[in-house]
Amino acid sequence: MPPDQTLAVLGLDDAEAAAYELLVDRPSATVDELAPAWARPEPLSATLASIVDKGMATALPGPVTRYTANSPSVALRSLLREHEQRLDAARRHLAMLEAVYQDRPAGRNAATLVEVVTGRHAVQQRLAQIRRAVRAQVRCLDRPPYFDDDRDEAAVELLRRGIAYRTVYDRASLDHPSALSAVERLVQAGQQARLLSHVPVKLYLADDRLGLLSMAGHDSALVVHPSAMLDALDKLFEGLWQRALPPHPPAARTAGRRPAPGTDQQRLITLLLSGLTDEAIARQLGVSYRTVQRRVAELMDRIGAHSRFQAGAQAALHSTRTRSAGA
Amino acid sequence: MREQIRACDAPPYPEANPAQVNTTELDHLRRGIRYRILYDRRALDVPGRLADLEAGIAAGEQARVADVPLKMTIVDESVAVLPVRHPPDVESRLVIRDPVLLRALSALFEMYWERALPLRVSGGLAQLSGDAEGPSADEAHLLPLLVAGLTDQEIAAQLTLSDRTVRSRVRAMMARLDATTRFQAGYQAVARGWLARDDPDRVDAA
Repeated sequence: MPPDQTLAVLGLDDAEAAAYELLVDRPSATVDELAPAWARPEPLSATLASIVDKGMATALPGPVTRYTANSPSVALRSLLREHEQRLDAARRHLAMLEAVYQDRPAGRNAATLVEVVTGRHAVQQRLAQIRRAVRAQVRCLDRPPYFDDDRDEAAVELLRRGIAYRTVYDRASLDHPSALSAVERLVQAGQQARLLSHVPVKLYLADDRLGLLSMAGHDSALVVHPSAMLDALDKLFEGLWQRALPPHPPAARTAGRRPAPGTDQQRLITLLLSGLTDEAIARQLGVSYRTVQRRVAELMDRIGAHSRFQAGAQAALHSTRTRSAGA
Repeated sequence: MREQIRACDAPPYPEANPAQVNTTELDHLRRGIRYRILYDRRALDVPGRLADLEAGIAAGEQARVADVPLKMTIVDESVAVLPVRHPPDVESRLVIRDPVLLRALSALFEMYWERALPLRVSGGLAQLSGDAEGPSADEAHLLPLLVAGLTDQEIAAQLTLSDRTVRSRVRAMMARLDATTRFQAGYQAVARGWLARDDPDRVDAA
């Protein structure tokens, strides 16, 4: 009877399969009794020892060792168990390789460098996922419209986790209801904020691993993986950060010649620095346009400026002095 | 139709013969396509690169130099080509057509371009000129008057220019300062040290 090749799948080689089939025919036998029926080149006794090891046969003790086949169902279970152990080991190894695969910089396959996430819900979900995975820092180019109502809470949560968080706000970011208060709260929580008249794209950079760009309509987003494109986004953020202005000159910490600008005045300066029009500033502060004009005139009067350009320059000089005085 | 090529040029170069590429550029320039190339400083150290570059500039290419170790080409507003990753693998390219990504790359190019030093050819030799990050000569005249709180009319009278010229110069300067309002421009002028350049003692004494 030819050895049954199908047992090979369980890890039996041809010789072992042949030895097992030889034993299955007999109640028990010694090597000498079996030898005449053994037609294979492999040594019979070593082959019998190896099927005993695999749990397919039993060696009966005595003056001369006798071998007996275990029942096929028992033998099978034993072989399957061994096979399962190997599969488990392979599975563990694959899991480890998978982790390495996930961790590798995206490469080779350019199609995986940029993915498109479609649908408001999918974008929100992806953003939540990205936030959970942040390890050290978040960098943001911020401008409306917004699609995630929980963005401020999420930012505070990240700051609480000790994540460094830098945001460059577009002028338009400060031109919707209670925007200034929201930014102030985040700054209070540790966010580093800067203002720029115009932010070219809406960007969320998680560490140096991912960049999420919101697309027009905001029902979809692009996720950029490590690549030259992500490097470019990184450089774009850092360049804009360098050009942007801090929200307001820090309040004087030492007794100066002039009283330190109060909170109202700091808020006014912040809004002026953002580049908003007087009308938008009025909306943000919840006062009339005429009141804004009066307050700006008062501010200019106080710092001795005759024009807005001069007032801006004076505010900058004041903040430089305050910084060096505080240092 | 192609109208403008913007590129950041940095080593390494895949072309066995860079002059071949330049032939295409010279041909494009003749057809009226605008070339703005931002060279990384290290590009000028590559043997033969400078001569190649001088030929391009002589033919009308606008060239600037900065520390920008980035390779990228943007054709109009429609397509950009990058290496897949940095440092560049010369064999593979990332082709970007998405408008949002293009806007980001375009903004990045313009940001670097504004800060880079113009490279000019004089007597057949390339040389860097000016100080791209500081105020121009015109702006240096305007600044002290603006900081003193003069109105545009008063400045025009001081400099014997028309009101219109003063306004347009201030607008151009505001754009360079990333400012949409005069208040921002004044703040940025100080923050970027534009006022301290000619008279370093002034701010120190303040």
